[in-house]
Amino acid sequence: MTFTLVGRGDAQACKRADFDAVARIGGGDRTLAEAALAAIRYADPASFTTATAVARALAARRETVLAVRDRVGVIAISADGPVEAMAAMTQAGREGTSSPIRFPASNAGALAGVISIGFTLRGPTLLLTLPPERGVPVGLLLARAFLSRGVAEFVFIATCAAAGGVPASRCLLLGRPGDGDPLAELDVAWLASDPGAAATSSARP
Amino acid sequence: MAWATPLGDSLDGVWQRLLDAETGLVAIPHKVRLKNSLGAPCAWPPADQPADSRMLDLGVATVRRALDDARLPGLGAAELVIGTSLGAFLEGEPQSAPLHRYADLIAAALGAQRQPIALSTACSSGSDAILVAAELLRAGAAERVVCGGVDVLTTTKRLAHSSLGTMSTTTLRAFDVRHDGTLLGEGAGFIVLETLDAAAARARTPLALLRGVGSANDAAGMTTPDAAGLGARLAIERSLADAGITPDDVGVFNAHGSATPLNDATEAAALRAVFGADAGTPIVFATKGNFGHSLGATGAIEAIATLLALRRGQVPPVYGLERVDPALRLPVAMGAPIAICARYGLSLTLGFGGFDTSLVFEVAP
Repeated sequence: MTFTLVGRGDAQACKRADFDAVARIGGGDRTLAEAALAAIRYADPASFTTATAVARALAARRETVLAVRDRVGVIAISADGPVEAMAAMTQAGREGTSSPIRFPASNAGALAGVISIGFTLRGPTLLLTLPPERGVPVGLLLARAFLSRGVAEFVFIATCAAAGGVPASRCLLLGRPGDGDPLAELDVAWLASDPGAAATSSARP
Repeated sequence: MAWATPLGDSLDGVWQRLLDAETGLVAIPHKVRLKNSLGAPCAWPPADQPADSRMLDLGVATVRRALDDARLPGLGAAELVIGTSLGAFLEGEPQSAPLHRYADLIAAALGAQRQPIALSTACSSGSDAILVAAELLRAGAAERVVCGGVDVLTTTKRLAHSSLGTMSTTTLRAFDVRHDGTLLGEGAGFIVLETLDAAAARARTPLALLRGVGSANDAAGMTTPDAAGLGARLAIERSLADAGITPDDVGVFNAHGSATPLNDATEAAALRAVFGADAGTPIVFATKGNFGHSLGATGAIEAIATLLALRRGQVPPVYGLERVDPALRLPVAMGAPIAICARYGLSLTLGFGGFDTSLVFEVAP
């Protein structure tokens, strides 16, 4: 089965307000969106940056995609994870304390979980703790499997790098044949490269 | 397949201790304020070894034993897929190393020819490693994959569960009316998955068949599962559809059974939705009262427990279970093992971040 590219987005150094603003554009089911966002009491900037890239990839086909929420998959790829929350948890642990709000945010899987929770997506979800060049081929293989078996009708593959303290993310929204343009090698190369390098949509032809 | 658990690391020995309803939960000295001093450590590696070093040793030793069990001289060109909740990364000095470093080191120690695939989906990590392995085989990207999970007990994670309110103040009693939380453990579990052709080429009869995989997200909260169990239900249904079987075909169900009231309620709701209320099967069991909750390793360890239940025709009793939560409307092993004659077994894990993963195994003919 061939992929189609349904949407593309990127983001850099986002916080909750950035994600909220992008995620609510287009609305439609505002109550649900706000309830979902309320479920995320706190998340790491890397998680919000990744979710913002996803929101931008979703923008053009938002209604179509969110109409099949139970069959929208999320594959996040990051070798760094939620750096800030993880460091805070480590430091707190050394001091013999722990924050019940930071702890969930320090779960590396939150990079994917925040996306699923933020948009109420119930497809297959996971985080590959790999750099983009190693993780993207695996992510594409998984996306193809989910799409071809009908477990998912759409799959987000999002990368995030945050090692320098500035999280940056790139995302492709993939669909089944007929849902968009054929996925090009150029798109894959863009996703598999460092998301921190020239993290603007215009960087990809 | 191989595991390292607080009850030991031999398949036969640990299985007998499960049937005898033993627990690896012991009081562990701690300098911080916790709601419960109980935890389930493995006897090896030594507790005074740094967490990241213990995790590597556990991972390497368990993969090596899994290869031995499969009569393989080494990893060779096999893929290695490892899941963990990264507990060791949160212990001691803040780390700047990439999150896949542990997997790379395990692979290097085993002479792997390929770079490993590392993933983290909290308490579903071990199950998701098996799911990813299945997709690699199905796609023809590999003919053999060693997959599983590893995690170690850390003060930071124990503190976190204590402050979050998910740590039991008594003991871990999954699906008991007195369930009040979980207790942490550690360990590793790895299985060797290969295509039937690859097994036949080396004249090996498989221990069991991985028939179906399924995953979903609760999409409810960062630590709070969906009370209606929709994500768990979807994961189970996807794995059954993938296996091409119906709920009636499942003879044994290894529950996540973390013993937090919320998780147990979610799981019970999902089970009612899939299998119906008061069905005669599957027989439900859970092993976290025996092993503690080994977080990123638990899915792989429980997959092995499911395989052993199928192969041995017995379901071990749920540790600490005396009065079954009425929300659980399926038969559950309590007090003594239950003999079964089941062809299919299912293992479900639920993780923070909403991760739900279900695996369907068939006992080898």
